[in-house]
Amino acid sequence: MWNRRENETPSTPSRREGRDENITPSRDFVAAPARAGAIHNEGLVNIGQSICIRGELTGDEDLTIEGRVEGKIDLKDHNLTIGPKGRIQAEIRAKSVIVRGEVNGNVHAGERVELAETGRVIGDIVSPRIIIADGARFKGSVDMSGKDVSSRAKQEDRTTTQAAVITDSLESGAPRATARS
Amino acid sequence: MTWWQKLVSSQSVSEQGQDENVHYGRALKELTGRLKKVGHPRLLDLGLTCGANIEFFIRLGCKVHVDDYATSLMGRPQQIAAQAKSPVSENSFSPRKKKTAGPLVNIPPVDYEEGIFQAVLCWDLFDYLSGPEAAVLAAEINRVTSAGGYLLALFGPAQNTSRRRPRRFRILDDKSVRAETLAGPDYIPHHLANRDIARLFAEYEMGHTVLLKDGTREMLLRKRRRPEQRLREPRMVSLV
Repeated sequence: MWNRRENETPSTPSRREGRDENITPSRDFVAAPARAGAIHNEGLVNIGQSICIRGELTGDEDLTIEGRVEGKIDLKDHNLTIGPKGRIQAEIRAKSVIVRGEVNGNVHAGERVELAETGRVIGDIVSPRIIIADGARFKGSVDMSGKDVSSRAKQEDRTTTQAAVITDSLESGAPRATARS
Repeated sequence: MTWWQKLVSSQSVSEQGQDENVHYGRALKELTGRLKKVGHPRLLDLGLTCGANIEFFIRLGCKVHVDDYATSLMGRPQQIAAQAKSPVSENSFSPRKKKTAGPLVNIPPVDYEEGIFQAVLCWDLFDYLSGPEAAVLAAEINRVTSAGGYLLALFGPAQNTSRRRPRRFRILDDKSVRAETLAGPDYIPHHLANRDIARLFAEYEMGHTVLLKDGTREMLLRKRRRPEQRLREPRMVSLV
């Protein structure tokens, strides 16, 4: 019993002078939320749920956004992931974009755009490859750099897009099928 | 052809014959044939978002716009049965008359400019709508469709009045479509007779009509270049 009292940390600062300096907060009072702020972990930057950015966001590394961004996002040759809690009201440019949250703005990708089941995009998508999962919501136009779309698709692209179609079919539990043009 | 492409193609040939949810409509094939002759047509898909459908029409050379309009309709509270039975009158279908007497119509607008689309896909959207609501949506579709543009739609059978769940239509190839039942709120489908459809799309002519096995009518309509001509009642041209 006495040991407990000695080890107890007072919930309020002591009234005695100088006592405050000796108070060591317990772990309970180091209440830094795990996702508040930008956490840098070996090249992967995560913007947390409580963060709201207004303006232009640029960078030279991959980025995951769980918070809110309003303005413009430009990642050039890197990957952008919008988490399920992410709310983006911005023009997006990146190498690849994975949307699991909400995006209100145009999305330009150099490689591909993936719209997950929980994703929602209101805006135009410009990308050579697009994967849209069943359940995703989308309002806008799709541009696959189609100057000559019917003949543009090489064997690798056809393989990837058919894989995307098959993935959708498997997710819905339906028999496999391919989209034959 | 890679090994998995061979596997998938061999499976799809055998499974299509067994899948009751797959229908083989000529209207889609007719539409794709017509779109190939148009240079970079704009197409609007008002159904539930489906990646396979987007890819299909992009490969045809279309500029595809998706609205996910079906989700907006399904999010509305189910209309009272009395409204579902409201008669479809001549006044209901006049696109110029903005006042519609009767129950309040809650249809979101199709948020695009006039006459920019060469093709519109509305799948089975009209099954979700009562008479006055169907008139509003038809007017919107008419507004955004260019002269000579096409409309592909599915209209449910008269004998099917039991509650059902929403469906997503997935294009498998240029003539086969699979209907996938979704896990969502049930609704009572509304039936539109052929004469009602003719009134709704008075500025259209019938391109192709297919009666599917379950009684669904798959229709391909084309907007006339001369809007003053009236549409005759559509006739069934084939039975599948």
